[in-house]
Amino acid sequence: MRETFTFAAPRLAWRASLARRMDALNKLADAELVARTLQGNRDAYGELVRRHQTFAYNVALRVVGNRADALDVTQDAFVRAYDALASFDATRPFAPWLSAVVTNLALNFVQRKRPALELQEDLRAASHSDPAHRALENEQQARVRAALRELPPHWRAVVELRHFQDMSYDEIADALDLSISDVKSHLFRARQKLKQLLEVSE
Amino acid sequence: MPHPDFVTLNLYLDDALDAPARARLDAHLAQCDACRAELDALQNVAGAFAAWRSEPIPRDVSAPVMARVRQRPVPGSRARWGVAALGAQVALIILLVAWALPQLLRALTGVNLPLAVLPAWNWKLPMFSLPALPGASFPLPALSLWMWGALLAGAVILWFIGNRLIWRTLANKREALQ
Repeated sequence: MRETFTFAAPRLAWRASLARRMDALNKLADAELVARTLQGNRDAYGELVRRHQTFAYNVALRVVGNRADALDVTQDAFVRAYDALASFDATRPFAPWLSAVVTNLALNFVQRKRPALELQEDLRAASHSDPAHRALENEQQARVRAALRELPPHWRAVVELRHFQDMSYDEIADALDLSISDVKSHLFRARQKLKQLLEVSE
Repeated sequence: MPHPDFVTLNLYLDDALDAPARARLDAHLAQCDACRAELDALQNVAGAFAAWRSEPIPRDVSAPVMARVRQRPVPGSRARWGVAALGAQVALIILLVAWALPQLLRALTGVNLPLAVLPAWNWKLPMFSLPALPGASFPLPALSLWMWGALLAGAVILWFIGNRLIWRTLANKREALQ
């Protein structure tokens, strides 16, 4: 009985202290969390990961088109973003910068690992086998998702950054290491292709 | 104004046309049903993305991510170390050149560097005026100028290879984003 008291008390105190620290981090803005991470506070980065993981996952999912791979890309992207955090401009929002890291990693992943046909099969299988996710997809979104899958990876990445992250041509060119004329070319051709695909599917 | 091409319509959609071009296109769209329909179709594509709903992440990845993060150095610390290491090397090289160049030239070519050009290096620094300082006057191996050049080039190549990590660390941003 006495032993229980001896060991339980410090553990409870430690848990309470951890909860207080986490609670304090919850209330901080992204820029402050980044600053604390750069000072060596890794818990601050953990809070950033928890805060942005759903966003990062959805960015990855739109580019790789496969849930399991999107989850892997999300994890790798957070580690990559941690390594590069010193280059993040704290006067700007964190999410667009993270989306550029995720998009690049997802693009590399798609180009390196998976043929397009396999991607399509994977996503179709996942869509049909998971009732929770299936319920979330309305018809319109399913059509857009199917159309997106038809695009080459580079076009998909540009569409992601332009339409979902609202980046300018310059920012996309910088993020994907493309020329501005390539960004425009990919984006405009992607829209043309999507327009045709969505018209056909209606 | 003739019918705008596809690129112009896309630039219009992205608000990337300058004001006069935009005004001309607005005037054209006001009277051209075909171009307005084409623009509407493009706007529908953009609108389809606007209605996109995010889906929840299947599982929390913070634990596996943090397990990997805890094994890594604090971001930026390697870059700071890299800058310090580079600075130290550059300073060392400048010192070595200042120390060795006048003697090397004198030994190889018999030319004394003019006092007006390098007075402090050649004559006034204590390291050159103290014969007791180790290495202050060193015996040079009997090598030709070409061989000395080859030796120097080899040393520079080795230096660059050895510094690849530092260059990579300093180029961290581009690596992370590519």
